[in-house]
Amino acid sequence: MKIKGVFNFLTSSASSLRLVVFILLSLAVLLIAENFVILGLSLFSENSVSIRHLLGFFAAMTQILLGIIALMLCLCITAYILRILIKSKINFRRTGIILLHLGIPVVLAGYLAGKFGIDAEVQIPKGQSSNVIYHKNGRTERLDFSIRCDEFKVIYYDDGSPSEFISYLSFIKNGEIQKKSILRVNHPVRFEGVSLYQSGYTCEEAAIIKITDSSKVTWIEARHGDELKLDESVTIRTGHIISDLMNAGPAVELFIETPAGNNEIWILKNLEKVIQRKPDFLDIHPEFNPKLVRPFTFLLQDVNSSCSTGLSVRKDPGVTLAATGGIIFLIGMIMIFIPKHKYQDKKDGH
Amino acid sequence: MDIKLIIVSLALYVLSFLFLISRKNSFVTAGKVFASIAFGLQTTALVLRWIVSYRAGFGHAPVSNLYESLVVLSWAIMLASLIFLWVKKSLQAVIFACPIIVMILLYASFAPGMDNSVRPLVPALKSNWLLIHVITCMMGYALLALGTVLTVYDNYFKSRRNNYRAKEAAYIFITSGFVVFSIGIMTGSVWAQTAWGRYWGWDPKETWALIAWLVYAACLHARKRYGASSMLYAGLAVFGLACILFTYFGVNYLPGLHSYF
Repeated sequence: MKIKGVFNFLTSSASSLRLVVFILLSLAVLLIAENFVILGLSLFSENSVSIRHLLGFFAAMTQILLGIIALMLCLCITAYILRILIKSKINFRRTGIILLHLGIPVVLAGYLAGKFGIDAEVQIPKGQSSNVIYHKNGRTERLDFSIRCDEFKVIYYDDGSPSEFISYLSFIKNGEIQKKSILRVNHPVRFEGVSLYQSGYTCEEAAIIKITDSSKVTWIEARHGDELKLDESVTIRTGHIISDLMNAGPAVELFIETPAGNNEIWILKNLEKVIQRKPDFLDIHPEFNPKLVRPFTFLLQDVNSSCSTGLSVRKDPGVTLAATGGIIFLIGMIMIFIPKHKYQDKKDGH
Repeated sequence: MDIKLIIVSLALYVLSFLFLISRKNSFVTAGKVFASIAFGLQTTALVLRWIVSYRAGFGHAPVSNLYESLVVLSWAIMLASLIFLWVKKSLQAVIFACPIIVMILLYASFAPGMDNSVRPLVPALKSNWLLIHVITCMMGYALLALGTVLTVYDNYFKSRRNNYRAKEAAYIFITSGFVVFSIGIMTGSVWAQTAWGRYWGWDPKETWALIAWLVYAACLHARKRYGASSMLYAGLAVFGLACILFTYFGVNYLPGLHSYF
């Protein structure tokens, strides 16, 4: 009898509506606080180390508190379900209520299980392969297969905005290609329990330039921002590299510092074609003259672009559990809504 | 064409609101008719936009930027209140829906810097989940907003004769809104799982949607404990609506993956 009394006291106080309202609201308020703390963190991140530490501390504290209160919520839900099971008759509507509430701790358990999975990123240049992935927490991990990026493409709409990012991947294990896949945004690829998602890309243009001096010929491969000392007095800095400058083909911008002064010139790969179309082109735009800076002649051989694809690598052992929880919640919600809901308000009475 | 139709429907909603609050029988009927015509025009505008995007070669549902989502939101509010009018024969919801919709459409049509052109989708949005996720979320927002407005009305004008009906309407809207909003969050997490590989990533929009969900959950529990006339219930509903508004607008100014509109 005594045990039953203690049990009744515990379940009734744990499942009291006042406590539940308090818990739900404190979760909401903590999340709001954490959101603004993280916002503050991103605003102050460059200014002050001490503010950053303080905000980081607050963020960690709110996260711990959130965990504790979420646990309390799960306990309350358990107490509430036990109370219904023991005290009341089970009918259709009550089953719905039980399922609805049961779904929440199941989802939370799934989320917790997901913390023990893989959440990593990898960058693979076109034509290369990699089996090392970088976890979000800074850890690196070696997979027992490697991923090769055979090709990376960006497809554009007519208005120039990107339509599709596509990676052509090969999965290599023990020196053999096991699987070839095409990876797009919204269309993940799975291999050996690990899922890959197209998460980003970087493309870098390199200009191959031939520089003819009165005495010698130099070939350089220049990237944006590269600096090259041609001799003691002349420095060449590479500006923008454009694969198609206003329909005139590849172009590169060079800043040339000589003792006589600084010049900015643009070299076009297809300069001759442009001059054929518009014979006075170099008179109007002298900065396109490859012989502007004496005694050099510049020639743009080509612009090569080398892309690397950015992949998210994920493995979530909790996703099935979380999905189950979601479905239980959904079923419970629908079950409560099926019977015609009679409007009642006990407090008001009328 | 579709933008002009939206402005015509905006004018019709204003007229409809004026007729509905006149309380004269013939005027009220005219108000109902105007609201229905405006809703029809809005639906036509959305379908036209859909067709335009297909003609341009990149067809997608008209839910891809802030302008389109505002139009869909106001459409969802009207849809919910017209269904309520049809099922419950009560004008409560339509009367409150009209001014809300007028405000939303005014903002959508005349706010400076609002981009109302039909553009192709960015790769991240190219998914069948886009339509399902946006429609369920907008429907959830619409129902919760209507429910909250009705709750506040009910709590401030307690002596009115039709008090009971306002209470009932408010409760129906808030509970069904909570259900639809939950489904909206779930469809979002299923999409996030297929697009980004995680169903929950604490992106600002996700976090704020969870906050709004928690507040409305607290609101429903407070109603059970303290009754439909309690200040706590009404206050939490208003707080929840503020969170919804922040989820919808405020989050665009925070860095995150939902910054498409």
